[in-house]
Amino acid sequence: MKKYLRIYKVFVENGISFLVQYRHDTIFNLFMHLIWLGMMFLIVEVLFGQTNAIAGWNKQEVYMLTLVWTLIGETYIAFFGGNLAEIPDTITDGKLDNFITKPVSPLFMISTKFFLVRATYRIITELILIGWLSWQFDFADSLLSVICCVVLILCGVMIYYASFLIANTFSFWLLRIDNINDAIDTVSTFGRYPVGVFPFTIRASIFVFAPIVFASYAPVAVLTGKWPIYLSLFIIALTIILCIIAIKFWNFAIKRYTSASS
Amino acid sequence: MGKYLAVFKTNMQAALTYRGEMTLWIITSFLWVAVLPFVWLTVYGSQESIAGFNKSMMVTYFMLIPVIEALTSSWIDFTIRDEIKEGKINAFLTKPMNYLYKGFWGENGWKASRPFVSVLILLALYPFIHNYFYLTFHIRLIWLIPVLVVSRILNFIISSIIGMVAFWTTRNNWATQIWWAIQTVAAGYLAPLAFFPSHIQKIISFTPFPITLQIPINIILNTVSTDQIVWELGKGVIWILVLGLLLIALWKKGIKKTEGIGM
Repeated sequence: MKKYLRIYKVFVENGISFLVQYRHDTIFNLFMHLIWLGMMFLIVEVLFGQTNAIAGWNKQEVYMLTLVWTLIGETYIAFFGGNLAEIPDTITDGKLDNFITKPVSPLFMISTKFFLVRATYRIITELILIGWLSWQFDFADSLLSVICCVVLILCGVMIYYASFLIANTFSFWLLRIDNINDAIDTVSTFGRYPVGVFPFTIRASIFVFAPIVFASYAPVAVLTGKWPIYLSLFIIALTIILCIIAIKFWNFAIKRYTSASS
Repeated sequence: MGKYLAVFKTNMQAALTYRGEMTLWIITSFLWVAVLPFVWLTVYGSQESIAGFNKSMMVTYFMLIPVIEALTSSWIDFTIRDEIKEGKINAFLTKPMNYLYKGFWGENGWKASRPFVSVLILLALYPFIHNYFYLTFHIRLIWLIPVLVVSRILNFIISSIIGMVAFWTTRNNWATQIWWAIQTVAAGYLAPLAFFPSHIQKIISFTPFPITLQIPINIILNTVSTDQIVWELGKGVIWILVLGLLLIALWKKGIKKTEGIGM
């Protein structure tokens, strides 16, 4: 465990070095992020210009959903985002051999090799906006619902990780599927809206085949009392099961991997 | 023209070689808008019509976005950016062909099969959405072809201008992100422009974005008059001229600046 922490410390230091090299890029990225947030808020305003509620969610709750969706996405990007997206190229270019020949878990190395420090600025922005929104509109039913919301946000990040890992592991068998990350990313945007907009059969199908959609919905639903708190246990169990499946699938693929050349 | 036709054919063959990747891109473009009909149907509730769009028109609007996008969108900025950064652009400077024409016809070849696959996906979805599908045949549909041509050329020019930024900076993802952020709202990807506040509609009306997506869809849905179509076409042609001149100026300046290292 200490070995992995030492290695991760080096990865974080590399991430900070990268940030220092591209200072202006970082500031500009933060500015772009604010533009994106503004755009998402604009569409919420356009929707609520025509109605007072969407599937039982009012405007402030949908804003909270948008912010939590963004927070989970940015946290995933900070820790894992750029790394998992490179798996298809890593396999086809033969670079995977560099990881499997080292005396540490190749999955750990591939998943965490680059820590995107500038995503932390965006995370801080989201947390400030979430804090302000919570203070203004007093969403939480109880302290327990707040704690469950935080736990479910962390579960959301791991659901993102497991979903992207499963998708990218298919590149051991399929060539040129680097755009699978765009497909998963697109499906995750469903989580920006209350899932109650979907008919029951579609909602159930999404829960089974694309649980990433519920990654942001669940924390806000528990926070606002739309879901009973005990459902948090199901999401935690789902997260654990999904992560186990993702890791087992990766191990299955690695055992059958043969390098053409490196 | 023969050499550009050869570029077209080569790129079309390359796209058909990686059918899985292409199909995944098209499915992704449908997924991108898949949630919006459900959201808007919920917003409609018991209302029959909002801003001149009934429920069927709204669902059809979003189902048409991937088809129109397959015909008119351009992502040439990624190619131009990578070729400038990697120095590959220098190889094209010595060839007897115009780089931008090569890019235009190459991308057309790459995208040639996408509209057909998009229509096939739409036909596959039809049994599930036929109650909400709105399609009428009317005389104004003849305007669709010139509008799509103008939209395609305009998207290509804007995307090329964004790609040219790579002549001056290696970190230019921001230019693509700005363009995409503005286009997502101003072209009508998230909602018909009629749903936006009037002051935002007025600002957007001066930009080239409405003709890239909103106007072709409005023609199909028959929610736009002939006068408006002619006005938007004229505006599109003016934007092509203005942005085209800007593109040529950027290209000439950028080529003077570029240097190939290790070529």
